[in-house]
Amino acid sequence: MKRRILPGFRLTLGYSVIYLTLIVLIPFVALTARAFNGTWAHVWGVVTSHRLIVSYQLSFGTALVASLINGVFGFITAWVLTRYRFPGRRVIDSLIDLPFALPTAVAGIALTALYAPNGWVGAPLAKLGIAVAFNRLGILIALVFIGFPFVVRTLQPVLAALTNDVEEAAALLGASRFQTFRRVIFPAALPALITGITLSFGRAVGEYGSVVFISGNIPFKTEITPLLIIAKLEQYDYQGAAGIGLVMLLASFLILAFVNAIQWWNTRRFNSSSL
Amino acid sequence: MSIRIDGLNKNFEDFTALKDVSLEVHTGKLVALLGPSGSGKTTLLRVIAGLEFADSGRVFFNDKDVTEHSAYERRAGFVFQHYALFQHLSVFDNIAFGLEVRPRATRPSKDEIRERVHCLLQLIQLEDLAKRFPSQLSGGQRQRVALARALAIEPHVLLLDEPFGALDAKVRKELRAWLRRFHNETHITSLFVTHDQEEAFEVADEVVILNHGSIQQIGAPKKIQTEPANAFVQDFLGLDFEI
Repeated sequence: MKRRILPGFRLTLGYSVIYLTLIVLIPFVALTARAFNGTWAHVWGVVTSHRLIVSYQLSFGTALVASLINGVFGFITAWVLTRYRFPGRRVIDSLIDLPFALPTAVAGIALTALYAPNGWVGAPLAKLGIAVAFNRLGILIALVFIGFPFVVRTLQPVLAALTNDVEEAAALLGASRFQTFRRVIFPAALPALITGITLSFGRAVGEYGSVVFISGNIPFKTEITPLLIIAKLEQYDYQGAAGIGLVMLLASFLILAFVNAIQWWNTRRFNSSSL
Repeated sequence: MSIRIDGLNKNFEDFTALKDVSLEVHTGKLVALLGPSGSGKTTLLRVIAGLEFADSGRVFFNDKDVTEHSAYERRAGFVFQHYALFQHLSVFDNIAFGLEVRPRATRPSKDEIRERVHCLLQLIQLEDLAKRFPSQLSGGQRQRVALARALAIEPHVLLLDEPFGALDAKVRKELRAWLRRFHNETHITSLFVTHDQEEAFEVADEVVILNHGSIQQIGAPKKIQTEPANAFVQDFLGLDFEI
């Protein structure tokens, strides 16, 4: 084996592997084992029931839309916070982390109070005929709320690291502000943006606390998948619950693998160090 | 095209970057701005390029007042010390950038662009690396790509900000000689900033020495070395004889 300059490789790798096994891998294995520990037909019946199919569409669909919305507005927020100096910038910057820190149930109650048909925002919207709370729109708002910091926090260091040089070079070569953004700044920030959206998506798919209050949990309409896991558990149907968990796990894994493949292709395209 | 600047003053808050600087660069000359760090040489170059605006004073290109013109309207080719290449674009696309962003009416066709870029690649002797990305190039290669990119828009003047500053000594020397040959062939009016006197005296037709934002001496390399104008120049060049 080649001698390494940095000491502690085996120690840290061994530690990481054991830690990951204990914290991440074993629970996954347990989940899988639990799902297959019984009649396969029962699990299959649960995870493919109409009620579940509707909830998959709702969970993954709203998570996707919410993370894309976060991509757009998170980009703008990260942009403002890194590029400009203005009074109150630090206050706004620390507010970003609030959804991270807030217990999700608190967020759910706050949003429900706000968007309920008699709430501050819900009442005027109700007059316009727009129902937010106890509706899919409410779920979307909750998911946007909890996923927002992921996009901002992944983009900030990347936007901060972009040098003025490159923008000046583009301007000197005749690029308009918009062309500079589209051709120079945006492509440089794209990998971080994709990462941020993915993290936001991952969080949104699994989100439970903030959603169950605002969604109203109407069967076939506003039931998210994690809620149905809890419902199965309450009925002592552990196999069914584990089965649903497994489906979510596989779906999330596939999506993450897909995004990582895009990232890998994207960085390899212009960052390989082979001379 | 000649460059003339007249009475430039520039302050950054409480720091005076340029103090009543007037200078003329004749058409087809290669002129070096030489001075210690903080002497205002980079600021002067950036004001000429239109990347920075002076508090007072005027900038002329060929007797045309460009003081209020934007960087692009001045059509100055600019080369940055740290290359400022577009990392996500290939060498080819970097060089083509200035042509690709033109409005449709004045944009050359795809074939014309390709031909133009290949001419420039030939000029910088990197024809084989058109498809590479900046991160796959050495420092000297990157700076040559940056130069080709600046030349693609057929600039009226060429401004180089410490172009060899980030390179190692050997590559510096090679690129320096290459720049001199390049200038002999194209005769594009060029102004380059350096803090390295050997570089300035070896490459430039004329050297401008700056200190604390004002010009200390302008002259041919030989003349400055034999007749330093004041104690600063003498000291800065390390000349050890009395005036």
